[in-house]
Amino acid sequence: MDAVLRAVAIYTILMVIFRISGKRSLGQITTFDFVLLLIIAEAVQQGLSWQDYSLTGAFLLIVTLVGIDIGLSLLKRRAPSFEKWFEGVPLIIVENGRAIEERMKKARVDEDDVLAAARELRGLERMDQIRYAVLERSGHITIIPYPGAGTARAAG
Amino acid sequence: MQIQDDMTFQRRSWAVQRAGWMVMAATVAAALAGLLGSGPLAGARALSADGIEASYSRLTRRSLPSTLELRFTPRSTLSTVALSAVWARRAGLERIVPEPESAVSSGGELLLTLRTVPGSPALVLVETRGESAGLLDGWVRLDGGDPLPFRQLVLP
Repeated sequence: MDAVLRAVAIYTILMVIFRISGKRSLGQITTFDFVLLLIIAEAVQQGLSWQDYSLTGAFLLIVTLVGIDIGLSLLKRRAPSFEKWFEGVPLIIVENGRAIEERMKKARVDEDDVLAAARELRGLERMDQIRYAVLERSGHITIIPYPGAGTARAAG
Repeated sequence: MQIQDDMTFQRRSWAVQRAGWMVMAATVAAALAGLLGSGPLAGARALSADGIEASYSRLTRRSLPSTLELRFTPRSTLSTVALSAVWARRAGLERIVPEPESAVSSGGELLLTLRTVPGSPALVLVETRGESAGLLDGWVRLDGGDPLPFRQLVLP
């Protein structure tokens, strides 16, 4: 019982922390973010195992964590509002070549991030070539150029 | 399109997946109930004719701390509690609370002499943490009376 409860507690804590930390931290991962993730994993490991080094305990932790994930994915399909809370919603940050400052500020994304994504994904050079830029739920920025602007890369 | 799809196989794989989810849910439910160690169904109680009551985990996991609780009403200022020595070794005896006045090993039993108050219910905690998995048969005896047997299953 305790292994299941520990797994549920850790899953909930991580879910809440990563949800309130915002999209950026999940999307554009820096080297420091990566190191931070490793440290978090180390800290979580102690809370999860808690003196239980048995095979059964490890099996229970895995089954519970994966089970919650499957359960939530099923729940998200049934209840869209639930999905919004857990996964967030896509956010338009550039419309018709104009950055929507207020949204970008709140989402902690700046024009440089948008331009970097535009160069990387579409080979665009300037803001006015971007029709829409969307901060996706995954934290990535997707770029929709004006027809004829830039050259789409073969593989994204 | 050059693709090796196989809907019959895909459907079969989905069915197996869903069956797997059911098994996972059942595992978590069983763990919550205590069928995989530590939980409401994992606890057991045994009572001897001489009035010693043993509460123990009939299901536990390797490396997980487990406590055998002994309750009795002492008849004199010194009570002798005997434990199976084989059980004590295999269960990984770590500590006895309260600390016995003396502990003697004799003829396959561990004789613990405890200071008690006659007529006032006594509680002795035998803390264990086993490193070996399998079936553990133990017994406990109060003041040379009949042994009270108990059985534990230690999951790997």
